Amino acid sequence: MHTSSTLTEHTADRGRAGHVPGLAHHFDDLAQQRQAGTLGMWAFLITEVMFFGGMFTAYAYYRYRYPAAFAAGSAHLDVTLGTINTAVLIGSSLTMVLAVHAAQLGRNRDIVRFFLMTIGLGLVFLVIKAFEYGHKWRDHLVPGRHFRWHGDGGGGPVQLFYSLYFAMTGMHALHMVIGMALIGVLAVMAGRGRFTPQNHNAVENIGLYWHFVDVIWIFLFPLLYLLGVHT
Amino acid sequence: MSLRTYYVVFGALLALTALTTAAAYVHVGGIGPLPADAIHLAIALSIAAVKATLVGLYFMHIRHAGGLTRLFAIAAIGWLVILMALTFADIARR
Repeated sequence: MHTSSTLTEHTADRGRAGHVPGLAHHFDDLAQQRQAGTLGMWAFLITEVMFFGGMFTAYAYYRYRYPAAFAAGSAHLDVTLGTINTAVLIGSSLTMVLAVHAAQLGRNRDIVRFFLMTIGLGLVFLVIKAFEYGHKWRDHLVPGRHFRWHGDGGGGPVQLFYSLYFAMTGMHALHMVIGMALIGVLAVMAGRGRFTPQNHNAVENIGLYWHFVDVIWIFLFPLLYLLGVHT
Repeated sequence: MSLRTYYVVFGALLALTALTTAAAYVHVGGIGPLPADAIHLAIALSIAAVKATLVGLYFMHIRHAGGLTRLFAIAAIGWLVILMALTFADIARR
Protein backbone atom coordinates (compact mmCIF):
# COMPACT_ATOMS: atom_id res chain seq x y z
CA MET A 1 0.00 0.00 0.00
CA HIS A 2 2.73 2.36 1.04
CA THR A 3 4.90 1.62 -2.02
CA SER A 4 2.03 2.16 -4.40
CA SER A 5 1.18 5.58 -2.99
CA THR A 6 4.85 6.66 -3.24
CA LEU A 7 4.81 5.53 -6.86
CA THR A 8 1.68 7.56 -7.57
CA GLU A 9 3.21 10.63 -5.97
CA HIS A 10 6.38 10.15 -7.97
CA THR A 11 4.45 9.83 -11.24
CA ALA A 12 2.38 12.90 -10.41
CA ASP A 13 5.60 14.79 -9.74
CA ARG A 14 7.01 13.76 -13.09
CA GLY A 15 3.79 14.87 -14.72
CA ARG A 16 4.14 18.36 -13.27
CA ALA A 17 7.77 18.59 -14.34
CA GLY A 18 6.62 17.70 -17.85
CA HIS A 19 4.50 20.84 -18.08
CA VAL A 20 7.27 22.95 -19.57
CA PRO A 21 5.69 23.98 -22.91
CA GLY A 22 7.06 21.93 -25.78
CA LEU A 23 9.02 19.52 -23.57
CA ALA A 24 8.40 15.85 -24.30
CA HIS A 25 8.05 13.74 -21.12
CA HIS A 26 11.08 11.53 -21.84
CA PHE A 27 13.55 14.42 -21.69
CA ASP A 28 14.87 16.08 -18.53
CA ASP A 29 14.86 19.61 -19.93
CA LEU A 30 14.67 21.59 -23.18
CA ALA A 31 18.46 21.68 -23.60
CA GLN A 32 18.67 17.89 -23.52
CA GLN A 33 15.71 17.61 -25.88
CA ARG A 34 17.39 19.99 -28.29
CA GLN A 35 20.70 18.10 -28.21
CA ALA A 36 18.94 14.81 -28.88
CA GLY A 37 16.96 16.36 -31.73
CA THR A 38 20.02 17.83 -33.40
CA LEU A 39 21.92 14.57 -33.10
CA GLY A 40 18.96 12.62 -34.49
CA MET A 41 18.84 14.97 -37.48
CA TRP A 42 22.54 14.44 -38.14
CA ALA A 43 22.06 10.66 -37.93
CA PHE A 44 19.34 11.00 -40.58
CA LEU A 45 21.65 13.14 -42.73
CA ILE A 46 24.32 10.40 -42.57
CA THR A 47 21.81 8.01 -44.14
CA GLU A 48 21.08 10.67 -46.75
CA VAL A 49 24.78 11.01 -47.54
CA MET A 50 24.87 7.26 -48.11
CA PHE A 51 21.72 7.40 -50.27
CA PHE A 52 23.17 10.04 -52.59
CA GLY A 53 26.64 8.52 -52.16
CA GLY A 54 25.52 5.38 -53.98
CA MET A 55 24.52 7.46 -57.00
CA PHE A 56 27.73 9.51 -56.87
CA THR A 57 29.71 6.24 -56.81
CA ALA A 58 27.79 4.91 -59.83
CA TYR A 59 28.43 8.21 -61.60
CA ALA A 60 32.17 8.04 -60.81
CA TYR A 61 32.47 4.49 -62.12
CA TYR A 62 30.61 5.06 -65.39
CA ARG A 63 32.37 8.35 -66.01
CA TYR A 64 35.69 6.56 -65.56
CA ARG A 65 34.45 3.82 -67.90
CA TYR A 66 32.98 6.10 -70.65
CA PRO A 67 34.74 9.49 -70.39
CA ALA A 68 34.00 10.62 -73.97
CA ALA A 69 30.28 9.75 -73.80
CA PHE A 70 29.90 11.52 -70.45
CA ALA A 71 31.60 14.67 -71.75
CA ALA A 72 29.45 14.60 -74.92
CA GLY A 73 26.24 14.10 -72.90
CA SER A 74 27.20 16.83 -70.44
CA ALA A 75 27.88 19.27 -73.29
CA HIS A 76 24.10 19.26 -73.98
CA LEU A 77 23.27 20.62 -70.52
CA ASP A 78 22.73 24.37 -70.13
CA VAL A 79 25.66 25.74 -68.08
CA THR A 80 24.02 29.18 -67.74
CA LEU A 81 20.81 27.77 -66.24
CA GLY A 82 22.89 25.44 -64.04
CA THR A 83 24.97 28.35 -62.71
CA ILE A 84 21.88 30.50 -62.10
CA ASN A 85 20.22 27.63 -60.23
CA THR A 86 23.32 27.15 -58.08
CA ALA A 87 23.18 30.83 -57.11
CA VAL A 88 19.41 30.58 -56.45
CA LEU A 89 19.95 27.62 -54.12
CA ILE A 90 22.78 29.39 -52.27
CA GLY A 91 20.41 32.35 -51.86
CA SER A 92 17.79 30.02 -50.37
CA SER A 93 20.41 28.71 -47.94
CA LEU A 94 21.04 32.31 -46.82
CA THR A 95 17.32 32.98 -46.24
CA MET A 96 17.10 29.65 -44.39
CA VAL A 97 19.98 30.49 -42.06
CA LEU A 98 18.34 33.89 -41.44
CA ALA A 99 15.12 32.06 -40.49
CA VAL A 100 17.07 29.94 -38.00
CA HIS A 101 18.70 33.10 -36.66
CA ALA A 102 15.26 34.67 -36.20
CA ALA A 103 14.12 31.50 -34.38
CA GLN A 104 17.06 31.77 -31.98
CA LEU A 105 15.78 35.23 -31.07
CA GLY A 106 12.17 34.02 -30.91
CA ARG A 107 11.05 36.38 -33.69
CA ASN A 108 8.25 34.35 -35.22
CA ARG A 109 7.22 36.96 -37.80
CA ASP A 110 10.76 37.04 -39.21
CA ILE A 111 10.79 33.23 -39.32
CA VAL A 112 7.63 33.33 -41.48
CA ARG A 113 9.14 35.99 -43.75
CA PHE A 114 12.43 34.13 -44.33
CA PHE A 115 10.64 30.78 -44.71
CA LEU A 116 8.44 32.24 -47.45
CA MET A 117 11.53 33.64 -49.20
CA THR A 118 13.18 30.22 -48.97
CA ILE A 119 10.12 28.51 -50.46
CA GLY A 120 10.03 31.18 -53.19
CA LEU A 121 13.66 30.61 -54.16
CA GLY A 122 13.05 26.84 -54.06
CA LEU A 123 10.18 27.37 -56.52
CA VAL A 124 12.42 29.44 -58.83
CA PHE A 125 14.94 26.57 -58.80
CA LEU A 126 12.27 23.98 -59.60
CA VAL A 127 10.73 26.07 -62.41
CA ILE A 128 14.16 26.47 -64.05
CA LYS A 129 14.76 22.73 -63.60
CA ALA A 130 11.37 21.99 -65.20
CA PHE A 131 12.34 24.08 -68.25
CA GLU A 132 15.59 22.12 -68.51
CA TYR A 133 13.75 18.80 -68.28
CA GLY A 134 11.37 20.07 -70.98
CA HIS A 135 14.30 20.83 -73.30
CA LYS A 136 15.75 17.37 -72.70
CA TRP A 137 12.37 15.80 -73.48
CA ARG A 138 12.09 17.78 -76.73
CA ASP A 139 15.66 16.83 -77.72
CA HIS A 140 14.96 13.11 -77.11
CA LEU A 141 17.50 12.93 -74.29
CA VAL A 142 15.19 11.33 -71.74
CA PRO A 143 16.34 7.68 -71.36
CA GLY A 144 13.91 5.13 -72.69
CA ARG A 145 12.19 4.29 -75.96
CA HIS A 146 12.39 7.81 -77.38
CA PHE A 147 16.04 8.40 -76.62
CA ARG A 148 17.93 9.50 -79.74
CA TRP A 149 21.62 10.29 -79.96
CA HIS A 150 23.46 11.12 -83.17
CA GLY A 151 26.60 12.70 -81.72
CA ASP A 152 29.87 11.30 -80.38
CA GLY A 153 30.30 8.81 -77.60
CA GLY A 154 27.75 6.18 -78.62
CA GLY A 155 24.04 6.14 -77.71
CA GLY A 156 24.26 3.56 -74.90
CA PRO A 157 26.83 5.25 -72.66
CA VAL A 158 25.30 8.71 -73.30
CA GLN A 159 21.93 7.32 -72.26
CA LEU A 160 23.65 6.08 -69.11
CA PHE A 161 24.84 9.63 -68.44
CA TYR A 162 21.27 10.92 -68.83
CA SER A 163 19.90 8.13 -66.62
CA LEU A 164 22.25 9.30 -63.86
CA TYR A 165 21.45 12.95 -64.62
CA PHE A 166 17.71 12.40 -64.20
CA ALA A 167 18.10 10.08 -61.19
CA MET A 168 20.40 12.46 -59.31
CA THR A 169 18.74 15.78 -60.17
CA GLY A 170 15.29 14.14 -59.83
CA MET A 171 16.06 12.82 -56.36
CA HIS A 172 17.54 16.19 -55.45
CA ALA A 173 14.39 17.96 -56.68
CA LEU A 174 12.19 15.52 -54.74
CA HIS A 175 14.16 16.37 -51.60
CA MET A 176 13.50 20.05 -52.28
CA VAL A 177 9.76 19.48 -52.72
CA ILE A 178 9.61 17.58 -49.42
CA GLY A 179 11.70 20.29 -47.75
CA MET A 180 9.44 23.07 -49.07
CA ALA A 181 6.33 21.25 -47.82
CA LEU A 182 7.89 20.92 -44.35
CA ILE A 183 8.98 24.57 -44.38
CA GLY A 184 5.36 25.46 -45.22
CA VAL A 185 4.10 23.54 -42.17
CA LEU A 186 6.70 25.20 -39.93
CA ALA A 187 5.80 28.61 -41.37
CA VAL A 188 2.20 28.07 -40.22
CA MET A 189 3.49 27.10 -36.77
CA ALA A 190 5.69 30.21 -36.66
CA GLY A 191 2.68 32.27 -37.74
CA ARG A 192 0.95 31.01 -34.57
CA GLY A 193 3.97 32.11 -32.52
CA ARG A 194 5.06 28.60 -31.61
CA PHE A 195 8.83 29.10 -31.50
CA THR A 196 10.83 30.54 -28.59
CA PRO A 197 14.57 31.12 -28.05
CA GLN A 198 14.53 28.01 -25.81
CA ASN A 199 12.45 25.81 -28.08
CA HIS A 200 12.85 26.02 -31.87
CA ASN A 201 14.31 22.60 -32.61
CA ALA A 202 12.14 22.03 -35.66
CA VAL A 203 13.38 25.24 -37.32
CA GLU A 204 17.03 24.30 -36.75
CA ASN A 205 16.46 20.78 -38.07
CA ILE A 206 14.70 21.90 -41.26
CA GLY A 207 17.65 24.28 -41.67
CA LEU A 208 20.11 21.38 -41.46
CA TYR A 209 18.04 19.46 -44.02
CA TRP A 210 17.83 22.37 -46.45
CA HIS A 211 21.58 23.09 -46.25
CA PHE A 212 22.30 19.41 -46.83
CA VAL A 213 20.20 19.52 -50.01
CA ASP A 214 22.22 22.59 -51.04
CA VAL A 215 25.50 20.71 -50.46
CA ILE A 216 24.30 17.85 -52.71
CA TRP A 217 23.66 20.37 -55.50
CA ILE A 218 27.08 21.98 -54.92
CA PHE A 219 28.60 18.65 -56.03
CA LEU A 220 26.01 17.80 -58.70
CA PHE A 221 26.51 21.08 -60.55
CA PRO A 222 30.20 20.72 -61.54
CA LEU A 223 29.96 16.95 -62.04
CA LEU A 224 26.96 17.09 -64.38
CA TYR A 225 27.10 20.51 -66.05
CA LEU A 226 30.76 21.53 -66.28
CA LEU A 227 32.12 18.21 -67.50
CA GLY A 228 31.39 18.91 -71.18
CA VAL A 229 32.43 22.58 -71.26
CA HIS A 230 36.10 22.17 -72.16
CA THR A 231 35.80 19.43 -74.79
CA MET B 1 26.62 33.51 -34.95
CA SER B 2 26.48 37.07 -36.27
CA LEU B 3 24.46 38.10 -39.31
CA ARG B 4 27.62 39.54 -40.85
CA THR B 5 29.21 36.07 -40.91
CA TYR B 6 26.21 34.71 -42.81
CA TYR B 7 26.40 37.43 -45.45
CA VAL B 8 30.18 36.99 -45.86
CA VAL B 9 29.76 33.21 -46.30
CA PHE B 10 26.92 33.83 -48.78
CA GLY B 11 29.19 36.16 -50.80
CA ALA B 12 32.04 33.66 -50.71
CA LEU B 13 29.73 30.88 -51.95
CA LEU B 14 28.54 33.03 -54.87
CA ALA B 15 32.12 33.98 -55.75
CA LEU B 16 33.21 30.33 -55.67
CA THR B 17 30.26 29.40 -57.92
CA ALA B 18 31.40 32.00 -60.47
CA LEU B 19 34.97 30.75 -60.10
CA THR B 20 34.10 27.10 -60.72
CA THR B 21 32.09 27.93 -63.86
CA ALA B 22 34.86 30.22 -65.15
CA ALA B 23 37.55 27.62 -64.42
CA ALA B 24 35.70 25.09 -66.58
CA TYR B 25 36.19 27.38 -69.61
CA VAL B 26 39.93 27.88 -69.02
CA HIS B 27 42.08 25.80 -71.30
CA VAL B 28 44.61 23.72 -69.38
CA GLY B 29 47.13 21.29 -70.81
CA GLY B 30 47.95 18.00 -69.17
CA ILE B 31 50.49 18.08 -66.35
CA GLY B 32 52.84 15.09 -66.48
CA PRO B 33 50.76 11.91 -66.63
CA LEU B 34 47.57 13.82 -65.73
CA PRO B 35 45.26 14.60 -68.68
CA ALA B 36 43.55 18.00 -68.90
CA ASP B 37 40.11 16.71 -67.85
CA ALA B 38 41.58 15.19 -64.68
CA ILE B 39 42.92 18.65 -63.77
CA HIS B 40 39.52 20.24 -64.52
CA LEU B 41 37.86 17.62 -62.31
CA ALA B 42 40.35 18.20 -59.48
CA ILE B 43 39.76 21.98 -59.61
CA ALA B 44 35.96 21.61 -59.72
CA LEU B 45 35.87 19.11 -56.85
CA SER B 46 38.26 21.20 -54.72
CA ILE B 47 36.03 24.27 -55.10
CA ALA B 48 32.93 22.17 -54.35
CA ALA B 49 34.63 20.79 -51.22
CA VAL B 50 35.45 24.32 -50.02
CA LYS B 51 31.84 25.41 -50.63
CA ALA B 52 30.45 22.35 -48.81
CA THR B 53 32.82 23.03 -45.88
CA LEU B 54 31.64 26.66 -45.66
CA VAL B 55 27.98 25.57 -45.67
CA GLY B 56 28.69 22.89 -43.05
CA LEU B 57 30.77 25.04 -40.69
CA TYR B 58 28.72 28.23 -40.78
CA PHE B 59 25.19 27.52 -42.09
CA MET B 60 24.90 24.11 -40.41
CA HIS B 61 26.69 25.46 -37.32
CA ILE B 62 29.25 22.65 -37.06
CA ARG B 63 31.78 25.28 -36.02
CA HIS B 64 29.89 25.91 -32.78
CA ALA B 65 28.48 22.41 -32.34
CA GLY B 66 29.38 19.95 -29.62
CA GLY B 67 31.84 17.10 -30.05
CA LEU B 68 29.20 14.47 -30.69
CA THR B 69 27.59 16.43 -33.54
CA ARG B 70 31.01 16.96 -35.10
CA LEU B 71 31.69 13.24 -34.81
CA PHE B 72 28.43 12.52 -36.66
CA ALA B 73 29.33 14.97 -39.44
CA ILE B 74 32.75 13.39 -39.83
CA ALA B 75 31.18 9.91 -39.72
CA ALA B 76 29.05 10.84 -42.76
CA ILE B 77 32.20 11.60 -44.74
CA GLY B 78 33.97 8.54 -43.29
CA TRP B 79 31.26 6.13 -44.46
CA LEU B 80 31.14 7.75 -47.87
CA VAL B 81 34.90 7.23 -48.19
CA ILE B 82 34.48 3.55 -47.25
CA LEU B 83 31.69 3.14 -49.82
CA MET B 84 33.74 4.68 -52.63
CA ALA B 85 37.17 3.29 -51.67
CA LEU B 86 35.99 -0.33 -51.44
CA THR B 87 33.96 -0.04 -54.67
CA PHE B 88 36.93 1.30 -56.60
CA ALA B 89 39.35 -1.16 -54.99
CA ASP B 90 37.08 -3.87 -56.36
CA ILE B 91 36.82 -2.33 -59.84
CA ALA B 92 40.57 -1.71 -60.10
CA ARG B 93 41.31 -5.37 -59.32
CA ARG B 94 38.94 -6.94 -61.83
